[in-house]
Amino acid sequence: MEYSRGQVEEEVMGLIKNLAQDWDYSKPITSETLLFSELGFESLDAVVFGTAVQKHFEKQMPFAELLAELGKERRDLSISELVDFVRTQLS
Amino acid sequence: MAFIEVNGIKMHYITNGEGPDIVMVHGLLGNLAVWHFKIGPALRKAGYRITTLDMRGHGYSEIAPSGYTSEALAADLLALLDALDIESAHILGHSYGADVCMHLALLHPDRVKTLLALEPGLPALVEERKKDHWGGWTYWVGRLKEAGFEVPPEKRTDFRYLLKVSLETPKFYGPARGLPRKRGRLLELINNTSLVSDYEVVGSLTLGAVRKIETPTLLVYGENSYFLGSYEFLREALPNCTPVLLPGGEHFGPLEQPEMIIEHILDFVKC
Repeated sequence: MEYSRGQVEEEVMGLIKNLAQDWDYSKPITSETLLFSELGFESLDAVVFGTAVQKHFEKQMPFAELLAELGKERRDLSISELVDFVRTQLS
Repeated sequence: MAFIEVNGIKMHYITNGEGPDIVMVHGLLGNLAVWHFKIGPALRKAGYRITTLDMRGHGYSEIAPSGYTSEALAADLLALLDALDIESAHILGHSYGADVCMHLALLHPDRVKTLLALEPGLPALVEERKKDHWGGWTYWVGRLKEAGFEVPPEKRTDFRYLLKVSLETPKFYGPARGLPRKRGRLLELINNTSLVSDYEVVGSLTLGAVRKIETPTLLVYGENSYFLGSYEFLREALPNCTPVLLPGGEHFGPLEQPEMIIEHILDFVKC
């Protein structure tokens, strides 16, 4: 199945909001929201979220490598960058 | 998210891949994420089905007031294997998680193909580690000092105190390195459950019982680990043991050198 960027963003956002229900984050979640410093992701949340994305799109994606890269470069990830990553993996 | 009911609590787990089963158990105050950066994906790609779990009270699993001895946690692990229809598996654990795995191998050897034990402390040797001169205290206090927390002398061997202070330090590992920890649930676990006292409960896993574990065991420590006392005992006591010392590593060495661990594990589980 082909996904447009808009579709991927919508589905990724849906998965995040689903997970974020239990979290202590009250501001609106937009495509610029940062996963770790703003949403308060911990490694566990990132792993669970990565697993949910792969299951949803029925495709193995190199999430572990992505997370390792973020750790090494000490940088955060916005939802928009994440959508780009998923889209690249799906194409 | 996948949850399964084991011994009255909701346990969170992740299963991925196809092939012979490898089940992975994290250590005290950890969670399943520790396996998902390198070790889990590499073993999955090598043709194994990987199952990781959050122990009772940890990660996304439910907190219960009690049931945190390595024997009780092994009973949770057994219940998970039953619930997932895993007849037998290679069982991999780090630190307290490795104690749990060892307990399972003692009580249910038919369920454990190989025991992959990274840095087990062994509750039966906890008295050795309570002594003032145990190197682990100095190391731990030193790490806290580096993070800006001065431990008063009278607290330097206070396990509960050090656990709590450690939660105040920024994360050392992973993509959220440098950011504050979410302390709420872990503080609840330390303050309101039997975890800290259960950690010392020997149960069936006495020093004598260790000699009866015939499961092929890969026993891995970092060569600078402050748990080497346990290594020296276990390498001699376990009847079917392949001991490995990783160059340069400390207690978390095996997790910090995943490439080496992956290689050792793949060699070992093939035999």
